[in-house]
Amino acid sequence: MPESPSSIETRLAIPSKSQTDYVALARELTADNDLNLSPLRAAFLSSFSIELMEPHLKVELASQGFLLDHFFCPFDQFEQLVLDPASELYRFEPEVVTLALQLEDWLPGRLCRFTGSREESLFLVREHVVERLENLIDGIRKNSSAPIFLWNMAEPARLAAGFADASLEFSEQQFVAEVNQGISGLCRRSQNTWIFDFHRTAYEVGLKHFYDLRLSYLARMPFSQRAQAHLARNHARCFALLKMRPKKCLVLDLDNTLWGGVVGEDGLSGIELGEDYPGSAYVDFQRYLARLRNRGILLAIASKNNEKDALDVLTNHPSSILRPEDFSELQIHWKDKALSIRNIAANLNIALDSITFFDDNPAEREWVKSQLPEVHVFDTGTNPIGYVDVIESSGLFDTLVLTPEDTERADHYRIERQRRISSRSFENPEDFLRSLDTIISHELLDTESPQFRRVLQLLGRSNQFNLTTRRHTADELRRLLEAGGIGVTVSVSDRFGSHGLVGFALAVPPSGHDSKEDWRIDTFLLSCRVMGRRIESALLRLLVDRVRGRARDVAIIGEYIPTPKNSPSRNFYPEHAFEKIDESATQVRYLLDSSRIPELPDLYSLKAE
Amino acid sequence: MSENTLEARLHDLLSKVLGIPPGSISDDLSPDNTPEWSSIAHLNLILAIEDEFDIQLSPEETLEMLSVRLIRLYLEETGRI
Repeated sequence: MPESPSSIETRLAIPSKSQTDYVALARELTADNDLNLSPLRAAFLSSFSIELMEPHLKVELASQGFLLDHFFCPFDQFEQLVLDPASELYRFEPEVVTLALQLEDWLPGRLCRFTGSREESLFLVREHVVERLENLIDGIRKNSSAPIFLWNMAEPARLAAGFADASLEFSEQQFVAEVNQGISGLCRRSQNTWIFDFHRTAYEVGLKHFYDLRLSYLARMPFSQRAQAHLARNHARCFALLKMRPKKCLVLDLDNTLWGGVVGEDGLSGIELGEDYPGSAYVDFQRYLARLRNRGILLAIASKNNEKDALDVLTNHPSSILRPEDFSELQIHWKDKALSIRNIAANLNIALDSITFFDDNPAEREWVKSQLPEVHVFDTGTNPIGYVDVIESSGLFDTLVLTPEDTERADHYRIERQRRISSRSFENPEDFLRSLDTIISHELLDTESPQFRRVLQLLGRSNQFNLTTRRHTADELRRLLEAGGIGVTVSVSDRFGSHGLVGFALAVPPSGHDSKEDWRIDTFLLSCRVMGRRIESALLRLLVDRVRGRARDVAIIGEYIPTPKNSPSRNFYPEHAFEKIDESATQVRYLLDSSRIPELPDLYSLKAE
Repeated sequence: MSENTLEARLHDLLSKVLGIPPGSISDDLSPDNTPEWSSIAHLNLILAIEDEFDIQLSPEETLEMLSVRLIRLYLEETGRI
């Protein structure tokens, strides 16, 4: 009897799929499935023939929630397609464009005589590569604003100088690194252009298993079946990152999670944490967590323990990598963990759906899942060796780029904790706010500002203090600014430290030619880090002053578009001299009369950059 | 006959990769009489066979295995099943 076929969903979830699985699944993935896949028009421009990868791309994209609608460029025609505004590429109206170029296909001859190349000729090749890529990006940008992913390059399977390469003053491996630096710089200075880390993908598969000469000769497809699957998987993850907001916080248990054993029973010296297995596996897990923290993920603790025992380990255990100050919030007591997580969310002022929970105890996991369905609960497995992989393979903390705010985020929150503790000694909140010696630096945003990426990140992340929750893309924001919009950013610092760029407001001029119409505040948002400090009053006043500097005495319209998360900003306009003019199911509109000026509280000082 | 004979495994794979009903597969099936067996499908088929039977085919073998009979005979001769 044939086995009963399992559902597409079950088969998609299997982590390692055979070639047969890929081909068969890809055929079954259509718009009629009940998988709720969102269609994605993705163009792939390759210097090789990418058709064979179609099943892998389709299946891996489906695992990330997309139904692939693809455009593959005919073999080696990417330059013509990009430069011709009437080409099929632009008629396809891609939502994402990938430039999958193999340097050796593209510059044959340049690389085959590698040994003996001197530094300056390598430099010239690098410049040449970056220039040609830049021309391609410019060509695409004339006709499409879709995000672009640019492959960087990997070392060839065999190095021209073999073992000796690594000892060369100008090695082939160094050359690849140089070209990749050039590509990375190009992505940083181009609009909406990101790296696809082909180099890393090749390493992950392994160079020995990555290429398939036979497929290359028979089908102009240089990569092995395994490599194709992994390339597709990493592409799908990258595409998902364009839309997905990463999780902000990882809540950790302590016993049998950060160390082996139970500190309340085994004592400081009895727990497993140190040089020998299994203690060494816990040390490595802590190292990994420290790296997560340093790239902006907030760590917190929810543990059922005596606080004194637990803090003793974190403070005094010689092998503990993580120390109490690495955690943005500590909930160590005998109360329910769902309550602990709620407290963490409230104290850090972040939403429950931005929180993840890691606990070795399945009963605690089930309890949290049942009480807080918004929280992502990791299935940790039973062995600490696997902990890192569980988190890493989830992709929940992945981002395409890191900003300085990311790397400093955990420190911001730690400082915020100190602020909160120090606020307890003040009777009146205004006295406390004055005692902080807050300085608000403000600046006009233009399309070339180094702050541009951070503003985009805030547009994507801010929920609670966000009057309109318009998630503008880079292009939309650029167009609004170029059409005369005024964007103001504020950065906040005080005696405890710096918060970085935490607020943004954008006012747009009347769209018609009738200058009698009013300016409108399109976007007004504040990072949740500085809520409750009246920073928003300063941001509004700064914006109003800027608008009236441009168009004297104008009235200004403010909108509030309610979402499930932004009720904290609901009364912002009425509390700042705006009058309600109309209200519908989806928005409330307010007007700031031309004679009125929002008040500026005397709680901080302002500094123009 | 058991489900796990070489022939049964091969037919199952052919049906999944080419997207045709298992009942329509016979020794005589080839790209000439099967529109689903395109040149891309042929490479997918070869990759799937390599994956399933843990073998490595040369470019020449890849190009020559142009019917179910030829594939089956090859698999029976190499005996690595």
